Amino acid sequence: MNALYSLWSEGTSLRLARSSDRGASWTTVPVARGGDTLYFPYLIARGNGELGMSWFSGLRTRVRANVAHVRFDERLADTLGAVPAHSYDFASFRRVDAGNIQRDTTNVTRERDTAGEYAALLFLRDGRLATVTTIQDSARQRYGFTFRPYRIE
Amino acid sequence: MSSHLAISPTGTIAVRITPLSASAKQFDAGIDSVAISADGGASWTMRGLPGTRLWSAYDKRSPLLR
Repeated sequence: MNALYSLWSEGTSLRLARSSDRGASWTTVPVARGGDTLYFPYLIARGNGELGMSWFSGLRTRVRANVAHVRFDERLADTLGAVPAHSYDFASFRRVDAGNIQRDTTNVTRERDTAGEYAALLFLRDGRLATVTTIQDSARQRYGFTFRPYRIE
Repeated sequence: MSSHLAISPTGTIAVRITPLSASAKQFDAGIDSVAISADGGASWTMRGLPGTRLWSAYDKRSPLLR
């Protein structure tokens, strides 16, 4: 049976919904919650109920990217709760220009900026999950992307 | 919006329709749904989504939740 999934943020709570009747009805469970704002949720699926999720958390100097993997079992939906997530810093920072000078240029205190980008996800053929985040660092003239593969336990 | 287009192993197509374009250059309030086709796109059923999302034009200092 194929299912339809939706992942979205309601502030400090990230929620996942599953429909087995093409969107006519949904079952909703929380998958992440905390004190930080959660945003830019990204969801991919493989097979029957295997999901990869990414999102960003926090603002300005607290921005982190988050990646999670879950095998959704409808029988356990009510107890899914918060899924284990891997959080990491990424190297995109608020742009430095004439009107936006960040005098402190340590990575700890510089404001990170997603620039509106999601943390793209994909399942690899070897079974791993991988994410890509941008590198946008005008202060150090460093641009590109970071590719992070994760072995699924 | 995350995956704006998805196709199941059996060919069912889902298209996410949101007020804000992926480029964030266009914002049209009032729609937040998913369109589903089980016949290869010949016909579509519009479905609502659970939950509440906060939609607005893009603001770098206040990221959208989506």
